[in-house]
Amino acid sequence: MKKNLTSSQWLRRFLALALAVLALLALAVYIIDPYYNYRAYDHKYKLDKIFSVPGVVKNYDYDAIVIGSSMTQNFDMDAFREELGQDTVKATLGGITSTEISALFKLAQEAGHARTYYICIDNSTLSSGSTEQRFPDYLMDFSLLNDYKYFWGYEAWMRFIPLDMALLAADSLGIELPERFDEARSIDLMGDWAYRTQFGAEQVLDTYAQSDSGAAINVDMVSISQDALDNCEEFVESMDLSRGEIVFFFPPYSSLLWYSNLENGELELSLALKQRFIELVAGYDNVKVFDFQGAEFTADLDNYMDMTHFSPEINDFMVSCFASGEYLANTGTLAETERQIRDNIDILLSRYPEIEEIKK
Amino acid sequence: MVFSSYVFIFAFLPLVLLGYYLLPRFISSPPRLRVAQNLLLIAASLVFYGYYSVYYLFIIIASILVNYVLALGMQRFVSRPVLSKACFILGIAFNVLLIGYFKYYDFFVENINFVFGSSFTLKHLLLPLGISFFTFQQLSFLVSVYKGEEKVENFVSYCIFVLFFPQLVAGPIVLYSEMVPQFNDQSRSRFNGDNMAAGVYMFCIGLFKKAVIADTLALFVDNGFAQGSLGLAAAWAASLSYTLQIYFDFSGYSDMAIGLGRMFNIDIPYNFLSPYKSDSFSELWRRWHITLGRALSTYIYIPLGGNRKGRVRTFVNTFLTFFVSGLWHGAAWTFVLWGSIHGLFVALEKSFPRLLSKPPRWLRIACTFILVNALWVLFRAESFSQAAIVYRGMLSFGSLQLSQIASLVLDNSFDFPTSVDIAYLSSLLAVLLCVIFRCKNSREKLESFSCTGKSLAFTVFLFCFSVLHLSRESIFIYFNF
Repeated sequence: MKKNLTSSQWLRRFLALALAVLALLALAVYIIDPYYNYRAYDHKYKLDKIFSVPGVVKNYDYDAIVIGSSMTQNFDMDAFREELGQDTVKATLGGITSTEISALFKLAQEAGHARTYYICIDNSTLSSGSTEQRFPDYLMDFSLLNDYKYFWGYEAWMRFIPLDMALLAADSLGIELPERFDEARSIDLMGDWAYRTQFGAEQVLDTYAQSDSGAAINVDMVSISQDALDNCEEFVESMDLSRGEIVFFFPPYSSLLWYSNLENGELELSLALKQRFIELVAGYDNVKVFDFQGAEFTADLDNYMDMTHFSPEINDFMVSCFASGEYLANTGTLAETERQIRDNIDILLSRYPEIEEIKK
Repeated sequence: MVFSSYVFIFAFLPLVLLGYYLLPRFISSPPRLRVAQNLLLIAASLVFYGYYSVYYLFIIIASILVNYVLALGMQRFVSRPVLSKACFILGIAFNVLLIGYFKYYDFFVENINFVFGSSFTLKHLLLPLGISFFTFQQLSFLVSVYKGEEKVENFVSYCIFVLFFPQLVAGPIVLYSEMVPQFNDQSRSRFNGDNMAAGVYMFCIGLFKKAVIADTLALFVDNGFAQGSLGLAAAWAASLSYTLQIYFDFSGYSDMAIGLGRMFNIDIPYNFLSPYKSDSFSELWRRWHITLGRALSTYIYIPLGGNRKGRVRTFVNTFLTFFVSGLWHGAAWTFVLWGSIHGLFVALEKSFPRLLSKPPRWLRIACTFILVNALWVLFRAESFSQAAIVYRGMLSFGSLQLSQIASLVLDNSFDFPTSVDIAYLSSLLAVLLCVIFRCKNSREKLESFSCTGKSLAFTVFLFCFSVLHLSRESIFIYFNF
């Protein structure tokens, strides 16, 4: 093609056009806001936990929040509304780390919506001390300065905006989409996995047989214990527990997990960590701890998907306990819980005698 | 710092360009201006290099100081050959030990442990960025000075030769004689609109290749090579994806380097000329990583005797040169085998030139591409067993397993139907294969560049679309070498 611009004209126009296009793209993201970074509505866009949770925490209208791992993802928000009268939102992530819990808790405190914080404490989360933080940093604050990664972000433009636009177009054209698309756009259902999961003793025993969790571990448990206790203390210190009503809870893993821990020598460590955690938060009047780990139903594997994940009926039961105060724990109840865990293991082994054969 | 990052594109580069072209307003003496501009580029390059770790700076500065002093020594003692040779040997030893320690220590110890059953501890050293490039470049300089082909000039010239940020961490591997005269050329001090426009154009082409194409392919490659077993379709998709990824990644980097050089009125040599259009391995190595081929030829192949000592020695020399090339690329036997097989093919082509020129060119190109593609598997694999998984898949003709392609596309954002994943990946690979075989390469595009509305729209598109891919910032594959 014939040269029709001088180089300085070309350069000036390049700068002007590039800046104009980038400004328009930024404006479009601000308006569409696919990750709810500026405003949160229900039933609008496809939700991805890593990208949507921070925005929901910052901008959704709620007065209670559930923070935690996959153990919390099947909580029914209506149960919280009905049993506790709280407009509750879930801020969850599978395999959530202690760093991520602290960050979400801090973000929720800064957002100032919640009066009550329900925080699930997985025993492994306490011990691992993982510093992994999967939520994008530009979404985990209220600053506009780093939002350029959002305005011109790959995930926004190449992943979610095209999908969101397609879903909106389908809605406006009256096209009926499969149920999972609606579920993927519900803030109440964000992260919910129960609807696509089977529960039952047979598959729990299968997953146990395939796991290597029953193998004896040959490591220095004394040093691991000290590291884990240090991690536990760091985790508690990383949170400002002086504000709001804070409810920590230890989820009801199946007794098969406790049996497995007993076999490989990790049970004592798990219990010691829980004790340390409860001691650390005991000084706060606004903090409660629920411990479901000695519950009788943990010996019934029909309630489980695998050794740890339980059915949504158990989530409902936990909500009713938050309301009634059943399973409230303190430093004085730990011995009794431990006894219940050991009793439940006995019940489990008598109910499923094949367990002891599986790892032989 | 990475070229394809927000901080480089929106902060570092504009600031350095602004400073570079504002200096003429404050310094009127042309020689002093050139020195000031070079000092600015040196300072900027140190920031660029030390952005992720200050620790890297100590290593590169030490390397520059030692090499410069030894080069100066060689020049000083030119009338005393023993001393000059001592400086030369010291220089070679220093560079070989430096790269040997950081890059090959663990590899060496692992092999010792394996062979003798010993248990020497590995150091797991952090490999300084681009150590292979800047060490090779300085080694070539020492050789040239020793042979009397180069003269050591002032320290600033030497520093800018090694440190110039556009080609610091992943080449092209430049010669002192082709760069330093440009840095000292006073006619290159002033802003040149034509060079700047061409530079921006070339930079955007490279940016698009890297940020959009190579990093998209990286997902398929990472997923593919992580599988425990692969069917025919997924294995070929993964290997082809890597063949395309490494080309677009490395040639994208080189295009950006050339574009950046142009913005500063510096011509950096081309490193890629449509390598996959080659009809033989010999031609491939004249088109792929051209400056490495040039350096290996000058400093290894020719000193070994090149093709001057008969057919057998030519065969052996070629093979040895590629063996070193493999080792240069990485401290692992997979790299050594990759380089050796390339060497074997090139040596065979040299030994039987007539036989291999008989088939039609399109067939030779297709065969070369398929073999090169298969060899990239070795280059990418973290171990021979991982490579074996991909090779087994590529040869499992009875097990197409088309649906496994979905696992290559998986990025945890949304599960599309398998048919959509298959259509997406296969159409993308088909388009990219068309691009590498049918389209003009970057050099041809740059040579035909002119300031038109069409080139303007094309460049704006490349730039803006690339910017939308920067949030998944990743390093260049060749930064690891």
